[in-house]
Amino acid sequence: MIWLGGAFITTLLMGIPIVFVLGISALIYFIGTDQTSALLVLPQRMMAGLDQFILLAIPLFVLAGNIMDVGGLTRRLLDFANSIVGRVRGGMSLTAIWGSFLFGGVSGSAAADAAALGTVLVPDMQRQGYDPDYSAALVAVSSLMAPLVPPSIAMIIYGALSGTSITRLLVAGLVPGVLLALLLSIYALYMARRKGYPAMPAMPFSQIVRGLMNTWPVILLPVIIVGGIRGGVFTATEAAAVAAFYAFLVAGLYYRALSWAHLRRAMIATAVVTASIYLLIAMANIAVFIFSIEKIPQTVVSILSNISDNKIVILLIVNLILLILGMFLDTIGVLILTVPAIMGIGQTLEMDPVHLGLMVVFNVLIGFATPPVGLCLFIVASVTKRPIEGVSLAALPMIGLALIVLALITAFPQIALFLPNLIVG
Amino acid sequence: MANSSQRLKWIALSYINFIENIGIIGIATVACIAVVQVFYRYVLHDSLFWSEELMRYLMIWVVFLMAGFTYSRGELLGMSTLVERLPSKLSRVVKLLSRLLIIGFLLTVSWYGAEFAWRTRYEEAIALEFSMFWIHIAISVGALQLCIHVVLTDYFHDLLAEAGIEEKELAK
Repeated sequence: MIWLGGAFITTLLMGIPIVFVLGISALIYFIGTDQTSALLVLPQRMMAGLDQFILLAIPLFVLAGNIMDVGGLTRRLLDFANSIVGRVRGGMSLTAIWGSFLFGGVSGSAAADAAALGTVLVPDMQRQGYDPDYSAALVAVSSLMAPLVPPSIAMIIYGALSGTSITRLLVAGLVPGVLLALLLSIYALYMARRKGYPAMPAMPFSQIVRGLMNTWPVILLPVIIVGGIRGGVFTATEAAAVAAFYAFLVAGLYYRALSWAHLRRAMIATAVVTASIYLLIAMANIAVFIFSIEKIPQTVVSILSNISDNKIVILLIVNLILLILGMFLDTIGVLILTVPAIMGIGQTLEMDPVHLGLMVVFNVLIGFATPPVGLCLFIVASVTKRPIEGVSLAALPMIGLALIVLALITAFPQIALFLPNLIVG
Repeated sequence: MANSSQRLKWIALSYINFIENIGIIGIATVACIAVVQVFYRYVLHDSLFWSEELMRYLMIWVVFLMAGFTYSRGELLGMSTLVERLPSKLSRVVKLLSRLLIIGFLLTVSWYGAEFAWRTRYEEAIALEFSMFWIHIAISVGALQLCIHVVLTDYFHDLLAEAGIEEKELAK
């Protein structure tokens, strides 16, 4: 265990890509514990991790998002959000928050959301006199809503790993997504009043209708996905196939914006994103194998239950560990590495698996945007060319709000469960 | 001299183009099979027996053939904050050491990947009935190709940056 942990921290700090950090530390573990005869498990575990039908949902959902992102879809979504919430003081920041929420229905990952909206929104906000670091931080934290609004790659992976209903997980993500958007909006309104950020001109009702006409096929996508998987009509992979086909029809026939060059770019981007996720899954699967040799999940569960038998205290510790891991690792990496132990804890505490899953995914997401090392902050800082320190500082109060939402869903399972119970039954 | 570096660049660009086409064809095929499968199952009520397996294996090959390209595009993220802050000499040493570690790991995976594929050569794919060797060897091939990309990190970085600029200009 010392070999694995030591190699892991060293290679991570050396700036080695996380995919290789996982692989190299596993290799060093095998060499250090004198098990080089077992090295055949490296390719074996990699293949076992990848050869799963459910994973095909990832390229198909990513493809759907990439095809949809056609003819300035990002712009259209933002214009629509703006026509509704832009008229108040600080309207542009509300547009950023709710535009990000809508965009989440197209993209399943926070990184994609942050990169796409960061490039478009932050310069616009700056032109209106917003503090650039504040704008970048707002986009970074808002992008956490992307994996909460279906489709969500993180939820699919959690569901696949833990055997939890993916439909219920996808639906459960919506409520915390809305809660986060509301809290961020209140904060944005407060900041706008304090700093005197301007309102946008009020749009007439006809403009809202036009915005809706421009974007409804996109807003409908999550509904189709959830509706499709509901009650086991489709599997998640089949729903993803339908989503990709739907996106193709919408982009081609409704927006009439699908060119060969665009399709080409969409497919290359999909292949690259899928490759990076698959490689991560392959490597993490080796690490998980080592965890099972070393009985890490059992150890974690027994340590935690020795510390306290209070449910809230244990969950607090779990949340803290996940938050820290989420800061350093990729969302998917953390999920694969921790789900075995998490499931054990969930069973000991007799928690609803959907409630547990939502808590875990949301938590890891927050880590993704938490200073000083959250990857999402780096993405936004790099696309907006702002120093990471300033963006981090501006993000702190917003991360606080996200933590409040996390505390709420941890303490009150009903928040996580009432919507899946209502819709999925 | 200029001529040979031009030729090298031409080879590298053709290779990148080839890899991109694999990505395009692979993703397009997987998506088409997925849609056809849904159509067969829900409209014709007649499930295809080979589609799941084919999609899974196709995706695995696409992933391992795209691995090097993905690395060179800088999509494999790491925590580089600390290294970037080191004095430039030390930072270069750490980066070199990192690459050596990655290369060592990839060569190991490639070696054992080949052995793994060879050992499973008599196993057959359930629906498609070919030797699993042809699937399992993807790991070995992918690791080796990724290794080449890591060795030539800077070359591919510059090449892709240049190609990216050209594409942006074309888009205008």
